[in-house]
Amino acid sequence: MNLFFRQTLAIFRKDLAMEVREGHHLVSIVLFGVLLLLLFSFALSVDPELMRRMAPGLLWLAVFFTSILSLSHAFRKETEDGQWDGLLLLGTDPRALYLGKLMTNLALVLLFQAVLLPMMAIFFDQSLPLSLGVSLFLGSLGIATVGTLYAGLTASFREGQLLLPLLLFPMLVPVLLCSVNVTALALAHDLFGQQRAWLKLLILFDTIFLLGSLLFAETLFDRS
Amino acid sequence: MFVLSVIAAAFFAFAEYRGLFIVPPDRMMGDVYRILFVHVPSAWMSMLFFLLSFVGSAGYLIRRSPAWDRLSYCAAEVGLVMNGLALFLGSVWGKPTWGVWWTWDPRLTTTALLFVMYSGYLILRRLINDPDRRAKVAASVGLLIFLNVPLVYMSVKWWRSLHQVQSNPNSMDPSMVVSLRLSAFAFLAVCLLLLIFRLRLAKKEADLEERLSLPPEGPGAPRAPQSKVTT
Repeated sequence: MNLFFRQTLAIFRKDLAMEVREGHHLVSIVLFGVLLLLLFSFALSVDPELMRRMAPGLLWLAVFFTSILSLSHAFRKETEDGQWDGLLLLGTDPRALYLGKLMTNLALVLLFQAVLLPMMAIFFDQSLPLSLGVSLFLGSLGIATVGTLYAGLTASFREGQLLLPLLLFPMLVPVLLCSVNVTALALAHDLFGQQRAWLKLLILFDTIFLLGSLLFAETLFDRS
Repeated sequence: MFVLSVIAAAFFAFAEYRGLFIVPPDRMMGDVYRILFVHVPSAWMSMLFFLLSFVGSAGYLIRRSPAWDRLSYCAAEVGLVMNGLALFLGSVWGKPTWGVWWTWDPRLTTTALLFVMYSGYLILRRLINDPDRRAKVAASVGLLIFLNVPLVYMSVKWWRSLHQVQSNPNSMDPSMVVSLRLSAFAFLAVCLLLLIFRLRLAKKEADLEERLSLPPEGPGAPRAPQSKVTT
C-alpha cells in the first residue's frame, strides 16, 4: 500500500514538473479562459445586472472549456513517447497511474479556477465569499475524476481529442448544474441554506465516479 | 426468421391501424393525441434496450465473453434509434399541444442527453481496432453512462423545480389503453427482431474480423486481403 502511494506521488510530481517546464502551454490555456469570459460578455449582453446574474454559469462554462483543453493533452507524453508502456514495465500500478494523473488534472483545474474566479468577480462585479471554496473544489474534483478516465481512454487514437468533449460533457451535466447552482447561491449569500442538497448531489457524483474510475482503471490503464 | 418477421410486421400494422382509425379521438386534443401510440412505445423501447445494453456491459465485465459485448452494443443501437424516434415524435406532438417544439422538462432533457451519450458510446467503439480492448473500454463506458442517468435526471429535475410548466393528467378511454398496450407489444416485437438480426450480423462481423487477423493456413486456404506494401 505504501508503494502504491509512493507511485501515485511520483507520477503526480513528474507531471507537475513537466507542466511547469512547459509553462507556455498552461499560460495559453489560462489566457484562453480569460478571453472566453470577455467573449461571453460581448456575445450576451451589455446589461450589467443581467451579466451579474449569469456570472456563475459563465464562470463554469469557461472552467469546462479550459479543462477540456488541458485534459485532451494530459496523456500526450504517455502516448507519444511510449512512456505508458515504460511506466507499466517499471511495475507501476495502473490505478496509481490514474490517481497520479487525477491529482495533476485536479491541480490544473484548480489553477484555472484561481485565475478565472477573480477575473469573473472583476468583470461581473461580484464579491467572493469564502464558502465558495467547497463548491469550487468539489466541482473541480468531478471534472478531474471523469475527465482523467476518459482522457486516458481516448488518448491512444488520433480522433480521440475530438471525441473527448463529446463523451465527457454529457457525463458532466450533473457537475455543471450542481456547481453553477451552488456558486450562484454562495454569491447570493444563501440565506435559506439551499446549497446543502446540491452539495450532497455533487459529493455523491464525485464518490460514485471516483470509485467507478478506480475500479475500471485497473483494466483500462493496463495497456496503452 | 422470415415467418416471424412477417408476423411481427402484420401485428405492427394491425396495432397502428387500430390506433389510427378505430380508437375514438381525444376530447381535448382531437386526433393529435394518436401520436401517443408510436411515441410512448418508442420511448419505452429505448429505455428497455438501453437497460439491455447495460446488462450486456455488466455481463461482459463479469464473464469477459464477446457475446455479452455484442449484446451490449446491438441493444444500444436499437435503443438509440428508438430514442431518436421518441424525441422526434415528442417534438412533433409538443408543437400543437404545448405550442413549442421543445421544453426543458427533466424527462425530455434526460432523453436528449441519453441520445448524445449513447451516440458517443457507439462512435467510441468505431475508433478502437483491437476487439478485446474495444469490448473492455465500451463495457466500462456503458456502465458509467448507466450509473449517470439517475444523477442527470435528479440534477435536471432540481434545476427545473422552480418553474415546472406542464403536467398531463388524462383519464383514457379503455379502448385507448388497449391500443397503447397493443402498440407497445408491436414495438417490442419489431425491436426484438431488429436486435436478433443485428446480433447475427455482429456475430458474422466478429468471425470475419477474427479470420482476417489470422495468417492464411497453407497454400489452399482462402487468403486475407493484404494491404499493398510499397517500398
